[in-house]
Amino acid sequence: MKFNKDKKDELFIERLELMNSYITQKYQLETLIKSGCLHLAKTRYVDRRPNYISTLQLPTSDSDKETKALYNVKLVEDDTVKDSEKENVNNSNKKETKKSSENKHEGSHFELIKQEDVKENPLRWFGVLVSQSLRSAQTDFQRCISLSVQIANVQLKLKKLEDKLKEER
Amino acid sequence: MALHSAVKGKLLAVIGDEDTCVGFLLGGIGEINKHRQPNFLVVDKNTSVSDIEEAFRKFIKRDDVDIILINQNVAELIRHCIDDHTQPIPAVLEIPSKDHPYDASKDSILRRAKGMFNPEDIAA
Repeated sequence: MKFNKDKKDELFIERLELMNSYITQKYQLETLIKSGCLHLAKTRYVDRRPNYISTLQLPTSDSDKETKALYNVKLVEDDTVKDSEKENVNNSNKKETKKSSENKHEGSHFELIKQEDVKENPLRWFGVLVSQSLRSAQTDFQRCISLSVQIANVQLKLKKLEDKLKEER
Repeated sequence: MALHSAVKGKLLAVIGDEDTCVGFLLGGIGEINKHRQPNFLVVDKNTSVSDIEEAFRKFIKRDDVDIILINQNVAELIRHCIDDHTQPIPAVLEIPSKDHPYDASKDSILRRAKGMFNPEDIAA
């Protein structure tokens, strides 16, 4: 499929915008991670136990208890893109629109979902009465998870654009 | 914002230093599946590059993992593996850590995207 110059310009501008938002979100993530780590350090300091917040508290494959993730991601197909793809199929011949297996995720995005059936809060790994700073750390890292999913979506869009431009060559 | 659902989605895996792993697991992404495989790897000074590589390849092969979060300094150690992975899913995200700030010039996604801006693309 050949694009005209304007279409090509549009794609390049879109890609620059996506790259900009990708970098901005990565710096936001850095701020959040630093803030979360600071809260973890504060928790260790308040509790006066250096090993209180460490890998020792994390679940291991040896433990009998099953650990389920509180947050999952789901890949959702984009309806608007599906429609435009259908139009493409109608307008151009089949050879041009034949998609490789790599492109099957085009027009889809991740959605963060909270599992309702998982009742265990990871805070309980660190005790029953945990400090406020550990709760703040949890909030920061939950925001990090949410932001990571957004960044993954930008990454998917960038990949899709790259594939479009490669097709054009 | 997260949606509430009873439907099981895919996992986020994490490879990173102690604070990154503890933090993200505290956030609620940690899981040990029925085959007793964790979705995280804590990298410390005793962890070899081959261990990191192996864990990364395992996460890529697992069909219950959709996003892999990896510290950028750890990603530097297995750069060849990350550059080889060109599939969109699982998405590999290089994240900063408290000791290593984010460096956009090292990010494989951005380097790949920048590589597309060559004179041949702009001309014609």
